[in-house]
Amino acid sequence: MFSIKIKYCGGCNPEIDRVWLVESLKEQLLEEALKIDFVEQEDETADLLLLINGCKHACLEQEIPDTDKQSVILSVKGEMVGDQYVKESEIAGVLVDLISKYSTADTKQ
Amino acid sequence: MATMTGREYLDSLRELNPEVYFFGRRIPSVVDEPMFQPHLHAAALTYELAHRPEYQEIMTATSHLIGEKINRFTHIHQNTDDLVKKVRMMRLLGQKTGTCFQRCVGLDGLNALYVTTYDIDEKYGTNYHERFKNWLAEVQKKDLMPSGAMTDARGDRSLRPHQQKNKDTYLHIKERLDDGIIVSGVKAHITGAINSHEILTMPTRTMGEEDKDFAVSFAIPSDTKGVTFVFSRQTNDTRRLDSPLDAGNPKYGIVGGEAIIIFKDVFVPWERVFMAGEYDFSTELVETFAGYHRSNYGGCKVGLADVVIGGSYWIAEAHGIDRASHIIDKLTEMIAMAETCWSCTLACSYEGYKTPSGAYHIHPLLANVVKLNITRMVYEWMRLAQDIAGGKIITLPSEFDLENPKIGKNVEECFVGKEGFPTRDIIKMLRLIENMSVGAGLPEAMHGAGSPAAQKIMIARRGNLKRKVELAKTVAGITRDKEFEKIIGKDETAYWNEVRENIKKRREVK
Repeated sequence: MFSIKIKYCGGCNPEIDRVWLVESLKEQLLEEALKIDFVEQEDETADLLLLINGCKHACLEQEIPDTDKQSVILSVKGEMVGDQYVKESEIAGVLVDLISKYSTADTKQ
Repeated sequence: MATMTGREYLDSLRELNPEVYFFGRRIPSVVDEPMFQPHLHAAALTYELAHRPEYQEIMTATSHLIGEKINRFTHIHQNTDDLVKKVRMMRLLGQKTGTCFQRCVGLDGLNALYVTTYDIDEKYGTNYHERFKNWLAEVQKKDLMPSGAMTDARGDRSLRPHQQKNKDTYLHIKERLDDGIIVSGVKAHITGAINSHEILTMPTRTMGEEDKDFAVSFAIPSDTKGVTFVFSRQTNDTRRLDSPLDAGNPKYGIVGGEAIIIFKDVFVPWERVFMAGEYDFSTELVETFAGYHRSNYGGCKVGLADVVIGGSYWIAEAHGIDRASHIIDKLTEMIAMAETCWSCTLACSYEGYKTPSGAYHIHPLLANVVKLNITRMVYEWMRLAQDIAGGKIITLPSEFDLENPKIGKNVEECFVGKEGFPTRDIIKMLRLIENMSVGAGLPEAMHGAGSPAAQKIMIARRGNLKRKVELAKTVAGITRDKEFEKIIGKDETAYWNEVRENIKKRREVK
């Protein structure tokens, strides 16, 4: 099963609701019938590393552990996903599309 | 290294022949005009310091476009380290010149256009970004200084650009041709305009669909046909013609040598056009530029503060009052305010982020906070400088009276200070404090990079009040506090009911 590890930034002054975003994402993945294994342990690796940064400064991108560098990395940075500006209400939807592509590609391999 | 020295920069200006007016006459040579000398020297220092090993770390960068070491004033910020080095560079140059050194407006224009042209192309499939990079590569290779021409004359501010009776109050496209555009209009308060190699224009405000011809950005050499400059007057400007001593800062002048730029049917070839009607990106361009530019003020103005604090302390020593507690207190206040602004600009730089173009932008909220603080604190620390220096700063005699064989000695005796402090030096320092604290420098700190109201609009917009309300409601107990429930091990409402019960019982026992 395709696995995802979620990392949250410290949340000092986020411009988005990170917890709500992840809950929203999980709900939408279920609706799309995408079977995802969410990895809980810090030292476990996953197919995809999802960085939930509360703002564009994206602190998490500065220190990605070596063990996680082998994963595909998706980064939410406040109201941005990767290099694209995305409104908060639409971020979960954008992530579902991207995860769907990666998980399908992974299945094909 | 693709950088000029200060002298080479001045010589490079001789190759241009811009049409410049001042005091009602056409100026034949910008480089030789005595009224312009101090501004030229200030700009030249931005070139010269790049060749000093002790400053190269912040004055230069490696270009991601041409792969060579370049002057940081032509660099596109590639990471937060670049953003921090930029403001360090601003503080250094403020310390060295005691005034505005002009080149940062162009730098911020370069970065703002790098970011925005990329985004325009992503939406419309245009090729502005490629054109811009081609032009920028030339700027970097030749170490050119573009002026950042953003502010339009604006006329009746209650009307939109297309509604103005005289359309030329805003720079606009008059005609689109196969090989370029024809533009007309007026840009106002353009810093360093007459001693820049190029003019880089940007729209000054949000434009709507009916304003699309006003949503224009391009770069042209300063001596392009149809471009006329009118150099502005500033407080005590002709003192530099009277005497170096009376000028206060004879080397580097006061503020940025601003000029009006009049564009009359100017042709701009398409390869130099970076926005032509994409009005929906005018806000992004203006705000991106404003963010970069506002962040600078916590660097350059703090550099000026370093100079005026040093001058104030020296004058206090010269007058024998340096140990007075009220003097120490005032100097401490000045330092605290300056470093507050410095902290702010470091914060907005370290909190910067990567844009889709790859260039890094500062933290917009903090950048506006920097500038808003500057609009207040500069007035306050200059007030304290005047307080420490005394009323003498506005009653000093002319250098000619000091030189007069009959009265000069008596005049000089009026300004004798403590042993070891030559009177001439005391007068020089008092004149410097006068130059920096009385006049054009203060409104420049107020209005440069946008007036206080503009900063407040941005701060209110980005202050995330909605989230702050949620924080307050949680702490006040209006909404559930999940972390608190974890600590107490039960539902919050049940917990407080228990607490009330216990309070009631304790009161009954009493």
